[in-house]
Amino acid sequence: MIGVLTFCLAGGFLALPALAQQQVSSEALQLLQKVATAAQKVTYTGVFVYQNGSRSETSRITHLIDGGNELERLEVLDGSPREVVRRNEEVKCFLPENKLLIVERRSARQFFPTLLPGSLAGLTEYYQIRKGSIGRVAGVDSQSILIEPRDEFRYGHQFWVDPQSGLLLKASLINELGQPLETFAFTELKIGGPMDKEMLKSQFEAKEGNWQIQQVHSSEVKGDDGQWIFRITLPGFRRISSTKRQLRPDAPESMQLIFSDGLAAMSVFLEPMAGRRKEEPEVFAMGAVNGYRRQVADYQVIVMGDVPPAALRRFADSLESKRK
Amino acid sequence: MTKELSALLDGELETHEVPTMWRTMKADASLRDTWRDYQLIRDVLRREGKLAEDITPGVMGRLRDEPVVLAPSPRRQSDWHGSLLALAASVTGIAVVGWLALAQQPSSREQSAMARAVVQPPPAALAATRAMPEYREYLLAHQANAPGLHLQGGAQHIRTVSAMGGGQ
Repeated sequence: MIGVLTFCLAGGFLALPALAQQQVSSEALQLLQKVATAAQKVTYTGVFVYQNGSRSETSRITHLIDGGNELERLEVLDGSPREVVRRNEEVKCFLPENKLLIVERRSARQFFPTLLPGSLAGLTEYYQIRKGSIGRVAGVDSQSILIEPRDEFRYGHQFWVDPQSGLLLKASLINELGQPLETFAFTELKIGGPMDKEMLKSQFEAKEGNWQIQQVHSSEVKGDDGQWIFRITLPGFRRISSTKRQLRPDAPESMQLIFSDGLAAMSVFLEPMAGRRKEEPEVFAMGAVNGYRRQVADYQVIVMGDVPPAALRRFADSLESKRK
Repeated sequence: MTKELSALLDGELETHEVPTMWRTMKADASLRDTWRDYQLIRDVLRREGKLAEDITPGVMGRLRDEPVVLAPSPRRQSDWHGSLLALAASVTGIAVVGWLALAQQPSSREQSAMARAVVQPPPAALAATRAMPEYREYLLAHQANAPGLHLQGGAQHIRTVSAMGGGQ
Protein backbone atom coordinates (compact mmCIF):
# COMPACT_ATOMS: atom_id res chain seq x y z
CA MET A 1 0.00 0.00 0.00
CA ILE A 2 2.67 2.42 1.02
CA GLY A 3 4.53 1.29 -2.06
CA VAL A 4 1.85 2.71 -4.34
CA LEU A 5 1.63 5.96 -2.41
CA THR A 6 5.38 6.29 -2.52
CA PHE A 7 5.21 6.14 -6.26
CA CYS A 8 2.62 8.87 -6.58
CA LEU A 9 4.27 11.18 -4.12
CA ALA A 10 7.85 10.82 -5.17
CA GLY A 11 7.55 13.19 -8.14
CA GLY A 12 6.06 16.14 -6.27
CA PHE A 13 8.24 15.62 -3.27
CA LEU A 14 11.51 15.65 -5.12
CA ALA A 15 10.83 18.72 -7.24
CA LEU A 16 11.22 21.22 -4.41
CA PRO A 17 14.57 20.07 -3.06
CA ALA A 18 15.84 19.95 -6.66
CA LEU A 19 15.08 23.64 -7.08
CA ALA A 20 16.81 24.54 -3.84
CA GLN A 21 19.73 22.40 -4.88
CA GLN A 22 20.12 24.37 -8.09
CA GLN A 23 20.45 27.58 -6.15
CA VAL A 24 23.03 26.17 -3.80
CA SER A 25 24.88 24.71 -6.74
CA SER A 26 25.10 28.07 -8.49
CA GLU A 27 26.47 29.68 -5.31
CA ALA A 28 29.09 26.97 -5.16
CA LEU A 29 29.92 27.54 -8.82
CA GLN A 30 30.37 31.26 -8.27
CA LEU A 31 32.77 30.49 -5.48
CA LEU A 32 34.69 28.07 -7.73
CA GLN A 33 34.89 30.85 -10.28
CA LYS A 34 36.42 33.07 -7.66
CA VAL A 35 38.93 30.35 -6.78
CA ALA A 36 40.02 30.03 -10.40
CA THR A 37 40.66 33.77 -10.63
CA ALA A 38 42.29 34.09 -7.22
CA ALA A 39 44.81 31.34 -7.95
CA GLN A 40 46.26 33.58 -10.66
CA LYS A 41 45.69 37.09 -9.34
CA VAL A 42 46.37 36.98 -5.62
CA THR A 43 49.80 37.47 -4.06
CA TYR A 44 50.36 35.10 -1.16
CA THR A 45 52.88 32.97 0.66
CA GLY A 46 52.24 29.99 2.85
CA VAL A 47 53.15 26.54 4.07
CA PHE A 48 51.08 23.56 3.09
CA VAL A 49 51.03 19.85 3.77
CA TYR A 50 50.55 17.45 0.92
CA GLN A 51 49.39 13.99 1.81
CA ASN A 52 49.24 11.15 -0.62
CA GLY A 53 48.85 7.61 0.59
CA SER A 54 51.08 7.09 3.58
CA ARG A 55 53.35 9.88 2.52
CA SER A 56 53.09 13.44 3.63
CA GLU A 57 55.33 16.37 2.84
CA THR A 58 55.49 19.98 3.87
CA SER A 59 56.17 22.67 1.29
CA ARG A 60 56.31 26.40 1.07
CA ILE A 61 54.65 28.21 -1.79
CA THR A 62 54.97 31.85 -2.75
CA HIS A 63 52.98 33.49 -5.51
CA LEU A 64 53.63 37.06 -6.60
CA ILE A 65 52.03 39.31 -9.17
CA ASP A 66 54.65 41.86 -10.08
CA GLY A 67 54.05 44.39 -12.84
CA GLY A 68 52.03 42.01 -14.96
CA ASN A 69 54.41 39.09 -14.40
CA GLU A 70 53.33 36.03 -12.49
CA LEU A 71 56.08 34.55 -10.34
CA GLU A 72 55.80 31.45 -8.26
CA ARG A 73 58.04 29.22 -6.21
CA LEU A 74 57.31 25.93 -4.57
CA GLU A 75 59.90 24.50 -2.25
CA VAL A 76 59.60 21.10 -0.59
CA LEU A 77 60.70 21.40 3.04
CA ASP A 78 60.96 17.68 3.85
CA GLY A 79 63.38 15.19 2.33
CA SER A 80 65.32 16.28 -0.68
CA PRO A 81 64.73 20.01 -1.29
CA ARG A 82 63.00 19.87 -4.66
CA GLU A 83 61.80 23.14 -6.15
CA VAL A 84 59.52 24.35 -8.88
CA VAL A 85 59.98 27.95 -9.97
CA ARG A 86 57.70 29.53 -12.51
CA ARG A 87 57.90 32.84 -14.31
CA ASN A 88 54.78 33.27 -16.43
CA GLU A 89 54.75 30.25 -18.74
CA GLU A 90 58.24 28.98 -18.02
CA VAL A 91 58.34 26.22 -15.42
CA LYS A 92 61.66 25.10 -13.94
CA CYS A 93 61.79 21.94 -11.90
CA PHE A 94 64.93 21.48 -9.78
CA LEU A 95 65.70 17.94 -8.65
CA PRO A 96 68.79 18.25 -6.44
CA GLU A 97 69.15 14.49 -5.88
CA ASN A 98 69.73 14.00 -9.57
CA LYS A 99 71.30 17.44 -10.08
CA LEU A 100 68.75 17.75 -12.81
CA LEU A 101 66.87 20.83 -13.97
CA ILE A 102 63.93 20.29 -16.28
CA VAL A 103 62.65 23.39 -18.03
CA GLU A 104 59.17 23.19 -19.44
CA ARG A 105 57.21 25.88 -21.25
CA ARG A 106 53.56 25.48 -20.61
CA SER A 107 51.06 26.63 -23.09
CA ALA A 108 49.27 29.82 -22.05
CA ARG A 109 46.26 29.50 -24.26
CA GLN A 110 44.63 26.47 -22.74
CA PHE A 111 44.47 27.99 -19.30
CA PHE A 112 41.66 30.29 -20.20
CA PRO A 113 38.73 28.12 -21.24
CA THR A 114 38.04 26.86 -17.73
CA LEU A 115 37.97 30.41 -16.45
CA LEU A 116 34.86 31.20 -18.42
CA PRO A 117 31.71 30.93 -16.32
CA GLY A 118 29.96 29.00 -19.11
CA SER A 119 32.35 26.11 -19.00
CA LEU A 120 32.35 25.98 -15.22
CA ALA A 121 28.58 25.65 -15.33
CA GLY A 122 29.11 22.77 -17.75
CA LEU A 123 30.74 20.90 -14.87
CA THR A 124 27.36 20.28 -13.28
CA GLU A 125 26.53 17.87 -16.06
CA TYR A 126 29.20 15.49 -14.79
CA TYR A 127 29.50 16.50 -11.15
CA GLN A 128 27.09 17.33 -8.41
CA ILE A 129 28.44 20.54 -6.90
CA ARG A 130 27.21 21.96 -3.64
CA LYS A 131 28.25 24.01 -0.69
CA GLY A 132 29.22 22.13 2.43
CA SER A 133 29.82 23.34 5.93
CA ILE A 134 32.10 26.08 7.23
CA GLY A 135 35.32 24.84 8.78
CA ARG A 136 38.59 26.30 9.96
CA VAL A 137 41.66 25.75 7.81
CA ALA A 138 44.95 27.52 8.58
CA GLY A 139 43.06 29.72 11.04
CA VAL A 140 40.59 30.92 8.43
CA ASP A 141 36.86 30.17 8.48
CA SER A 142 36.51 28.54 5.11
CA GLN A 143 33.59 27.39 3.03
CA SER A 144 33.69 23.80 1.86
CA ILE A 145 32.51 22.81 -1.60
CA LEU A 146 31.60 19.22 -2.34
CA ILE A 147 32.04 17.98 -5.87
CA GLU A 148 30.73 14.49 -6.48
CA PRO A 149 31.05 12.71 -9.81
CA ARG A 150 27.87 11.56 -11.49
CA ASP A 151 29.57 8.54 -13.07
CA GLU A 152 32.57 6.27 -12.61
CA PHE A 153 34.80 8.12 -15.07
CA ARG A 154 36.07 10.75 -12.64
CA TYR A 155 36.99 11.31 -9.02
CA GLY A 156 35.30 13.59 -6.54
CA HIS A 157 36.74 16.62 -4.83
CA GLN A 158 36.29 18.50 -1.64
CA PHE A 159 37.52 22.06 -1.51
CA TRP A 160 37.78 24.48 1.39
CA VAL A 161 37.84 28.07 0.21
CA ASP A 162 38.64 31.35 1.91
CA PRO A 163 35.51 33.28 0.90
CA GLN A 164 37.35 36.62 1.24
CA SER A 165 40.33 36.05 -1.03
CA GLY A 166 38.97 33.08 -2.97
CA LEU A 167 42.13 31.09 -2.27
CA LEU A 168 41.88 27.35 -1.99
CA LEU A 169 42.99 26.49 1.54
CA LYS A 170 42.47 22.76 1.43
CA ALA A 171 41.63 20.30 -1.32
CA SER A 172 41.08 16.57 -1.40
CA LEU A 173 40.74 14.24 -4.33
CA ILE A 174 38.18 11.61 -3.36
CA ASN A 175 37.97 8.10 -4.75
CA GLU A 176 34.89 5.99 -5.40
CA LEU A 177 34.89 4.73 -1.80
CA GLY A 178 34.76 8.27 -0.49
CA GLN A 179 38.37 8.16 0.70
CA PRO A 180 40.85 10.91 -0.02
CA LEU A 181 43.52 9.88 -2.52
CA GLU A 182 45.47 13.03 -1.85
CA THR A 183 44.99 16.11 0.26
CA PHE A 184 46.73 19.40 0.22
CA ALA A 185 46.11 21.83 3.05
CA PHE A 186 47.62 25.12 4.08
CA THR A 187 48.84 25.28 7.65
CA GLU A 188 49.99 28.87 7.37
CA LEU A 189 49.03 31.54 4.89
CA LYS A 190 49.78 35.21 4.39
CA ILE A 191 47.76 36.98 1.75
CA GLY A 192 48.97 40.12 0.01
CA GLY A 193 52.29 41.92 -0.23
CA PRO A 194 54.76 43.35 0.17
CA MET A 195 56.91 40.39 -0.79
CA ASP A 196 60.66 40.10 -0.89
CA LYS A 197 61.51 39.08 -4.45
CA GLU A 198 64.37 36.95 -3.13
CA MET A 199 61.69 34.55 -1.93
CA LEU A 200 60.87 33.77 -5.53
CA LYS A 201 64.40 32.74 -6.45
CA SER A 202 65.49 29.13 -6.35
CA GLN A 203 68.37 28.38 -4.01
CA PHE A 204 69.82 26.34 -6.89
CA GLU A 205 69.55 29.06 -9.52
CA ALA A 206 73.14 30.26 -9.05
CA LYS A 207 74.51 26.71 -9.18
CA GLU A 208 72.90 25.83 -12.47
CA GLY A 209 76.37 25.38 -13.96
CA ASN A 210 76.91 22.03 -12.28
CA TRP A 211 73.50 20.82 -13.18
CA GLN A 212 72.29 18.88 -16.12
CA ILE A 213 69.70 21.04 -17.82
CA GLN A 214 66.97 19.36 -19.77
CA GLN A 215 65.11 21.83 -21.90
CA VAL A 216 61.80 20.54 -23.17
CA HIS A 217 61.01 21.92 -26.59
CA SER A 218 57.37 22.19 -27.43
CA SER A 219 55.10 23.69 -30.03
CA GLU A 220 51.35 23.87 -30.36
CA VAL A 221 49.89 21.92 -33.24
CA LYS A 222 46.43 21.73 -34.68
CA GLY A 223 44.70 18.41 -34.23
CA ASP A 224 46.67 15.19 -34.06
CA ASP A 225 47.70 14.72 -37.71
CA GLY A 226 44.45 12.82 -38.17
CA GLN A 227 46.42 9.64 -37.57
CA TRP A 228 44.69 8.58 -34.41
CA ILE A 229 41.23 7.62 -33.46
CA PHE A 230 39.71 6.97 -30.04
CA ARG A 231 36.93 4.43 -30.44
CA ILE A 232 35.58 5.39 -27.03
CA THR A 233 35.30 8.87 -25.63
CA LEU A 234 34.72 9.36 -21.93
CA PRO A 235 31.62 11.52 -21.35
CA GLY A 236 32.48 15.17 -20.82
CA PHE A 237 36.15 14.88 -21.73
CA ARG A 238 37.08 17.17 -24.62
CA ARG A 239 40.42 17.53 -26.28
CA ILE A 240 41.74 20.90 -25.23
CA SER A 241 45.23 20.92 -26.64
CA SER A 242 47.70 19.19 -28.91
CA THR A 243 51.39 19.86 -28.45
CA LYS A 244 54.51 18.46 -30.02
CA ARG A 245 57.31 18.17 -27.54
CA GLN A 246 60.68 16.63 -27.10
CA LEU A 247 60.74 15.53 -23.50
CA ARG A 248 64.30 14.24 -23.39
CA PRO A 249 67.23 15.00 -25.63
CA ASP A 250 67.64 11.28 -26.35
CA ALA A 251 63.97 10.62 -27.05
CA PRO A 252 62.03 11.07 -30.28
CA GLU A 253 59.56 13.93 -30.54
CA SER A 254 56.23 13.04 -29.01
CA MET A 255 52.73 14.39 -29.25
CA GLN A 256 50.80 15.33 -26.14
CA LEU A 257 47.04 15.48 -26.38
CA ILE A 258 45.20 16.77 -23.32
CA PHE A 259 41.61 15.83 -22.60
CA SER A 260 39.66 17.43 -19.79
CA ASP A 261 36.19 17.65 -18.34
CA GLY A 262 37.09 20.98 -16.71
CA LEU A 263 38.38 19.47 -13.48
CA ALA A 264 40.04 16.16 -14.27
CA ALA A 265 42.59 15.91 -17.05
CA MET A 266 44.28 13.17 -19.01
CA SER A 267 47.39 13.51 -21.13
CA VAL A 268 47.98 11.14 -24.01
CA PHE A 269 51.61 10.97 -25.13
CA LEU A 270 52.21 9.39 -28.53
CA GLU A 271 55.82 8.59 -29.29
CA PRO A 272 57.35 6.63 -32.18
CA MET A 273 58.94 3.40 -30.98
CA ALA A 274 62.02 4.29 -33.03
CA GLY A 275 63.68 0.93 -32.61
CA ARG A 276 62.96 0.56 -28.90
CA ARG A 277 62.12 -2.95 -27.86
CA LYS A 278 58.52 -3.86 -27.35
CA GLU A 279 57.29 -4.12 -23.80
CA GLU A 280 54.20 -5.44 -22.13
CA PRO A 281 51.51 -2.89 -21.28
CA GLU A 282 52.08 -1.36 -17.87
CA VAL A 283 49.74 0.18 -15.34
CA PHE A 284 51.34 2.61 -12.92
CA ALA A 285 50.53 5.33 -10.44
CA MET A 286 52.49 8.41 -9.47
CA GLY A 287 50.71 9.64 -6.41
CA ALA A 288 47.12 10.39 -7.32
CA VAL A 289 47.99 10.42 -10.99
CA ASN A 290 47.26 7.10 -12.65
CA GLY A 291 49.07 5.97 -15.74
CA TYR A 292 49.01 3.32 -18.40
CA ARG A 293 51.51 2.53 -21.11
CA ARG A 294 50.88 0.41 -24.16
CA GLN A 295 51.87 0.14 -27.78
CA VAL A 296 49.74 0.92 -30.79
CA ALA A 297 51.14 0.24 -34.24
CA ASP A 298 54.76 1.40 -33.99
CA TYR A 299 54.01 3.98 -31.31
CA GLN A 300 54.36 3.98 -27.57
CA VAL A 301 51.27 5.42 -25.91
CA ILE A 302 51.38 6.76 -22.36
CA VAL A 303 48.15 7.98 -20.84
CA MET A 304 48.13 9.64 -17.42
CA GLY A 305 45.74 11.68 -15.38
CA ASP A 306 43.80 12.08 -12.17
CA VAL A 307 41.01 9.79 -13.29
CA PRO A 308 40.16 6.29 -12.00
CA PRO A 309 42.47 3.61 -13.45
CA ALA A 310 39.61 1.72 -15.12
CA ALA A 311 38.44 4.81 -17.00
CA LEU A 312 41.98 5.64 -18.02
CA ARG A 313 42.56 2.15 -19.39
CA ARG A 314 39.29 2.04 -21.17
CA PHE A 315 40.12 5.26 -22.95
CA ALA A 316 43.72 4.24 -23.73
CA ASP A 317 42.67 0.83 -25.01
CA SER A 318 40.26 2.37 -27.48
CA LEU A 319 43.06 4.20 -29.29
CA GLU A 320 43.76 3.01 -32.82
CA SER A 321 46.07 4.14 -35.53
CA LYS A 322 44.51 4.96 -38.89
CA ARG A 323 47.70 4.12 -40.74
CA LYS A 324 47.96 0.42 -41.14
CA MET B 1 13.89 -1.18 -10.30
CA THR B 2 12.09 1.44 -8.21
CA LYS B 3 9.22 -1.04 -7.87
CA GLU B 4 11.51 -3.57 -6.19
CA LEU B 5 12.96 -0.80 -4.06
CA SER B 6 9.53 0.16 -2.88
CA ALA B 7 8.71 -3.49 -2.16
CA LEU B 8 11.91 -3.79 -0.19
CA LEU B 9 10.98 -0.78 1.91
CA ASP B 10 7.58 -2.27 2.62
CA GLY B 11 9.11 -5.62 3.51
CA GLU B 12 7.24 -7.18 0.61
CA LEU B 13 10.21 -8.31 -1.46
CA GLU B 14 10.74 -12.08 -1.72
CA THR B 15 13.43 -13.19 0.69
CA HIS B 16 15.59 -14.68 -2.05
CA GLU B 17 15.46 -11.42 -4.00
CA VAL B 18 16.76 -9.32 -1.14
CA PRO B 19 20.49 -10.06 -1.48
CA THR B 20 20.38 -9.30 -5.23
CA MET B 21 18.68 -6.01 -4.47
CA TRP B 22 21.35 -5.02 -1.96
CA ARG B 23 24.02 -5.82 -4.52
CA THR B 24 22.32 -3.75 -7.19
CA MET B 25 22.00 -0.83 -4.82
CA LYS B 26 25.59 -1.15 -3.80
CA ALA B 27 26.62 -0.57 -7.38
CA ASP B 28 24.12 2.13 -8.20
CA ALA B 29 24.47 5.50 -6.46
CA SER B 30 21.28 6.95 -7.92
CA LEU B 31 19.33 3.96 -6.64
CA ARG B 32 20.74 4.61 -3.18
CA ASP B 33 19.58 8.22 -3.44
CA THR B 34 16.11 7.02 -4.38
CA TRP B 35 16.21 4.64 -1.42
CA ARG B 36 16.95 7.54 0.90
CA ASP B 37 14.15 9.59 -0.63
CA TYR B 38 11.74 6.70 -0.15
CA GLN B 39 12.69 6.42 3.48
CA LEU B 40 12.08 10.12 3.91
CA ILE B 41 8.68 9.85 2.25
CA ARG B 42 7.81 6.84 4.38
CA ASP B 43 8.67 8.74 7.50
CA VAL B 44 6.47 11.63 6.42
CA LEU B 45 3.61 9.27 5.64
CA ARG B 46 3.94 7.59 8.99
CA ARG B 47 4.22 11.03 10.61
CA GLU B 48 7.34 10.02 12.41
CA GLY B 49 8.71 12.92 14.38
CA LYS B 50 12.29 12.48 13.26
CA LEU B 51 12.79 12.41 9.51
CA ALA B 52 15.50 10.22 8.01
CA GLU B 53 17.88 12.87 6.83
CA ASP B 54 20.82 12.26 4.58
CA ILE B 55 23.74 12.04 6.95
CA THR B 56 26.08 10.61 4.33
CA PRO B 57 28.16 13.72 3.61
CA GLY B 58 28.59 14.45 7.30
CA VAL B 59 29.65 10.96 8.22
CA MET B 60 31.90 10.60 5.20
CA GLY B 61 33.51 13.92 6.07
CA ARG B 62 34.20 12.78 9.61
CA LEU B 63 35.59 9.48 8.40
CA ARG B 64 37.79 11.24 5.89
CA ASP B 65 39.48 13.12 8.70
CA GLU B 66 40.20 10.01 10.70
CA PRO B 67 42.76 7.31 10.08
CA VAL B 68 41.27 3.91 9.41
CA VAL B 69 42.22 1.31 11.98
CA LEU B 70 42.62 -2.16 10.58
CA ALA B 71 42.27 -4.95 13.06
CA PRO B 72 41.90 -8.66 12.33
CA SER B 73 38.29 -9.71 12.34
CA PRO B 74 36.80 -13.18 12.65
CA ARG B 75 35.96 -14.95 9.44
CA ARG B 76 32.60 -14.02 8.05
CA GLN B 77 29.80 -16.50 8.28
CA SER B 78 28.56 -16.31 4.76
CA ASP B 79 28.82 -14.08 1.73
CA TRP B 80 25.19 -13.19 1.92
CA HIS B 81 25.52 -11.93 5.45
CA GLY B 82 28.66 -10.01 4.57
CA SER B 83 27.32 -8.13 1.60
CA LEU B 84 24.15 -7.28 3.46
CA LEU B 85 26.10 -5.73 6.28
CA ALA B 86 28.37 -3.87 3.91
CA LEU B 87 25.47 -2.46 2.05
CA ALA B 88 23.51 -1.53 5.11
CA ALA B 89 26.56 0.41 6.18
CA SER B 90 27.01 2.17 2.89
CA VAL B 91 23.34 3.00 2.62
CA THR B 92 23.38 4.86 5.87
CA GLY B 93 26.63 6.40 4.78
CA ILE B 94 28.95 4.51 7.06
CA ALA B 95 31.62 2.94 4.93
CA VAL B 96 33.29 0.38 7.09
CA VAL B 97 36.39 0.60 5.03
CA GLY B 98 38.76 -1.34 7.21
CA TRP B 99 36.27 -4.11 7.61
CA LEU B 100 35.66 -4.31 3.90
CA ALA B 101 39.34 -4.38 3.14
CA LEU B 102 39.93 -7.26 5.51
CA ALA B 103 36.80 -9.08 4.50
CA GLN B 104 38.32 -9.69 1.11
CA GLN B 105 41.31 -11.53 2.50
CA PRO B 106 41.19 -14.91 4.14
CA SER B 107 42.15 -14.61 7.76
CA SER B 108 45.48 -16.18 8.57
CA ARG B 109 47.98 -16.46 11.34
CA GLU B 110 50.21 -13.85 9.78
CA GLN B 111 47.41 -11.39 9.87
CA SER B 112 46.59 -12.03 13.46
CA ALA B 113 50.24 -11.46 14.23
CA MET B 114 50.04 -8.09 12.58
CA ALA B 115 47.78 -7.06 15.42
CA ARG B 116 46.84 -3.50 14.60
CA ALA B 117 47.92 -1.49 11.66
CA VAL B 118 46.82 2.02 10.98
CA VAL B 119 46.17 2.30 7.30
CA GLN B 120 45.48 5.65 5.75
CA PRO B 121 45.71 5.09 2.00
CA PRO B 122 43.27 3.13 -0.09
CA PRO B 123 44.98 0.11 -1.68
CA ALA B 124 45.28 1.82 -5.06
CA ALA B 125 47.52 4.51 -3.64
CA LEU B 126 50.14 2.06 -2.47
CA ALA B 127 51.85 1.96 -5.84
CA ALA B 128 52.39 5.67 -5.51
CA THR B 129 55.45 5.59 -3.32
CA ARG B 130 57.47 3.84 -6.02
CA ALA B 131 59.73 6.34 -7.77
CA MET B 132 59.31 6.05 -11.53
CA PRO B 133 62.04 8.08 -13.19
CA GLU B 134 61.08 6.89 -16.67
CA TYR B 135 57.81 8.82 -16.47
CA ARG B 136 59.21 11.91 -14.75
CA GLU B 137 59.18 14.23 -17.76
CA TYR B 138 55.72 13.07 -18.76
CA LEU B 139 54.35 13.86 -15.32
CA LEU B 140 55.87 17.33 -15.37
CA ALA B 141 54.45 17.97 -18.85
CA HIS B 142 51.07 16.73 -17.70
CA GLN B 143 50.93 18.66 -14.44
CA ALA B 144 52.23 21.87 -15.99
CA ASN B 145 49.69 21.84 -18.79
CA ALA B 146 46.59 20.22 -17.38
CA PRO B 147 43.81 22.70 -16.71
CA GLY B 148 41.33 22.46 -13.87
CA LEU B 149 44.21 21.76 -11.59
CA HIS B 150 45.08 25.42 -11.72
CA LEU B 151 42.43 26.00 -9.07
CA GLN B 152 45.30 25.15 -6.77
CA GLY B 153 47.64 27.61 -8.40
CA GLY B 154 51.28 26.61 -8.15
CA ALA B 155 50.51 23.92 -5.62
CA GLN B 156 49.60 21.66 -8.55
CA HIS B 157 53.32 21.06 -9.07
CA ILE B 158 53.52 19.32 -5.73
CA ARG B 159 52.33 16.17 -7.48
CA THR B 160 55.30 16.31 -9.78
CA VAL B 161 57.98 16.90 -7.18
CA SER B 162 56.34 14.62 -4.66
CA ALA B 163 56.44 11.72 -7.12
CA MET B 164 60.10 12.54 -7.80
CA GLY B 165 60.94 12.78 -4.16
CA GLY B 166 63.26 9.80 -3.91
CA GLY B 167 63.28 8.44 -0.33
CA GLN B 168 60.52 6.92 1.77
